[in-house]
Amino acid sequence: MNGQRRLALPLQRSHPMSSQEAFLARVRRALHKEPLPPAARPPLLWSDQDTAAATANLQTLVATQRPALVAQLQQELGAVGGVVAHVHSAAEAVGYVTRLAQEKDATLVVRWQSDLLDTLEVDAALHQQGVAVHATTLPAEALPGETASAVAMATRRQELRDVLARADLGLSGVDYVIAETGTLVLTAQAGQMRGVSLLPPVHVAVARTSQVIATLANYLLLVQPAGADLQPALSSCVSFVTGPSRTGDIELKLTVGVHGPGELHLVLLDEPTPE
Amino acid sequence: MQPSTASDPTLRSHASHLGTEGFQEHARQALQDAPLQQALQLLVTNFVPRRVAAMAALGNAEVLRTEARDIKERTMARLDEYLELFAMQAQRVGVQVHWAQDAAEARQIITGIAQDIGARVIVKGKSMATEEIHLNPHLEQHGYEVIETDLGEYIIQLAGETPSHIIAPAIHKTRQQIATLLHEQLGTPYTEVIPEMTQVARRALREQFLRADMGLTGANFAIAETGSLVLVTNEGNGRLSSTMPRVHVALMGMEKVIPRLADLAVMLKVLTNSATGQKISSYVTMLTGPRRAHDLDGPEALHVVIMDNGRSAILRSANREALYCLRCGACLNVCPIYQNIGGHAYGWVYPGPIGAVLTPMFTGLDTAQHLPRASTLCGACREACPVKINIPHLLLNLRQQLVERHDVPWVERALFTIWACIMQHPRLYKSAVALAALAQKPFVHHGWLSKLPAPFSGWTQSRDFKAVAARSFRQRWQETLQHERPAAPGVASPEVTSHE
Repeated sequence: MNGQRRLALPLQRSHPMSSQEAFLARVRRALHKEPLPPAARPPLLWSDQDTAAATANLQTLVATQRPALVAQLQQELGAVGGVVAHVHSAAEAVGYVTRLAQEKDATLVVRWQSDLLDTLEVDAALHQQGVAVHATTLPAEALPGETASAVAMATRRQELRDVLARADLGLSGVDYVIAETGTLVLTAQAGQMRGVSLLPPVHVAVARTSQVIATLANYLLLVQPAGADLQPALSSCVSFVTGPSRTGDIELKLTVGVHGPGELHLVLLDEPTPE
Repeated sequence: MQPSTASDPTLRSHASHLGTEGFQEHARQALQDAPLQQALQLLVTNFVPRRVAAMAALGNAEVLRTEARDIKERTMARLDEYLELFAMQAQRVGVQVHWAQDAAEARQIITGIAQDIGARVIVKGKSMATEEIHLNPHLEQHGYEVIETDLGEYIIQLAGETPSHIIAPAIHKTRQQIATLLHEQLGTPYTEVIPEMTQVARRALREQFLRADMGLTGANFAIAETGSLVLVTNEGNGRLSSTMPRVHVALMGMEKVIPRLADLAVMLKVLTNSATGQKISSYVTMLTGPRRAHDLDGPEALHVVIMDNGRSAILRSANREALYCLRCGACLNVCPIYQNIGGHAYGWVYPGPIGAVLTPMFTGLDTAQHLPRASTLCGACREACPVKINIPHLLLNLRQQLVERHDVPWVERALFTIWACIMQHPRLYKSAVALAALAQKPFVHHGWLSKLPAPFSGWTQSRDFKAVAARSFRQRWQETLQHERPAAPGVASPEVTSHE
């Protein structure tokens, strides 16, 4: 607390805060609800499909439809100003990223730590061009599967925040890509910062075609283990990203790059996944 | 910049005064405000066809609207249970849940959080709920620096005005007005080029995102099943406000809850297609708790303030379905009244047809009794609504309440009493029509009544009235029957069944 804060007007807590009970009781009164015994109440989370069967169906369906879905994805993401590069080898994927970095005069790239990006060895290629690469890794002292100390995490967070504010290009993977709307699904995980796809002026995501699914409804089904409590399966932040940041707030004229990246590239790697 | 009365910021900033005279005055000014009329024209030519095309492209828009409405109906019927489930699930992942009975309590809770965490700078994502409780002036009074970060909201904050459209808050301002504003307020070189203006705002606001201690947003949806909040934006203001500051506070009306994660797919589709004609917005962010131990960014604390502020009264009333509203703005864009007078004339945070329903219910029918009447009941809003809210019906409910409270002039009441009596008695009706046909003679011009004496002068002041026909429908019907098709025995005579 500094001096300025103490000058603020005192808060008037004249009446006690309404509790959850009082709030919900008022809602209940407004509903004129018949009080039912818990056993007689219909389930709050009703089920209109056999989730397990639907999920199984989904896997086979998506596999057979993949070429059509990839075409749809290119069409949809292209329509909202995203750029899709359909490549057939790791070398092509890396080539696309390094060319783009050169085109943008990038000096600093910030990237997710992910298996795909590690496999591609994109760092080495960028270094060769004199581009610095900073991966959003956990503090060095943390062992795999172990949580770093709070102090180490705090230091690392601050460090990465500064990197993000300066980075010219953010490079990430994706969890899924949704064909219906051309949407990238990015989840916050250890090593996968939210800011990589948000702060730099250019965002490049790399995905395998095996990560393409049909619809948002499919995604919601995939994260929902049948019959299980699904909350633990959800990351603290799931971002659905569809095209560059855009606004129409001045005379309804579409303009990109207002807060998030003004450019969004999806490098779609079409090669057999190593079994 | 063109001079115009209604563009005067001081007037606009006080737009929240209600009352019939205020409405009429604002409406009159709006009609003569050339830049505003130009902007409204843009809305009609942009948003309306985009939404229509998007809904048509969906192929199953009707099914989706019905599903979305069904989800809302189910939610409202057991709202207390869904809120309880949402709170429980949110708390499990470390969200701090607060309950606010009214605007004052919501303001107090949010100011209390700011004080507890020692915040000084607060960045805001776009939120109508915070507009509803007039949060900014309150926070500023308590010494906090509050910065709107949605481009449209930022522009009107710089201008000291209030939003005039739910999703395009600065629609009433021209690019020249905005260029002058940015130049004067930020000291940047004058430019009318929209991408350049956008970059000026980006740089200014990026700095604020990095220095802010607290991010304040609304919520488009709150998922009971998972305790998740969903923010829908195009610019990324919601993402940045909920990622960069160390504490994130979301204020939501209690009707924002949806039951299941799976429901999000339907709700999102109808929302974005209706709002902007987009299949999905650029950014949809689903937040389940604050950052976890291994997350490298995101807020250390997440607070959700669930607000009633008059909603339980709406829930109890015959107008419950007003709570289904997703705040997409589609009803504004298609409304012949909104298209002419814009948002500020409505006098409160929610304009347009849904505003005409919500404002009297939130602020009291006394102060806003003109709003239910400011509608042609054409039904365009109902057709556009993604959750099929029957807005004309809700407006009629409010009008009925006004009549029941005798809040109508005695002349109107007397006339309608007489009218009701005539309509219930066929003989009386027949004579009345005959009498009217005679009495109207001095006023008829080419089959129209365009100037009537009191007490009918109010009607003809702004519209014409079709003259009563020389021969009534009944007379002509009778003649037809006699000349062409004599009624078969046993067929009821039209004298009995007709409801002319």
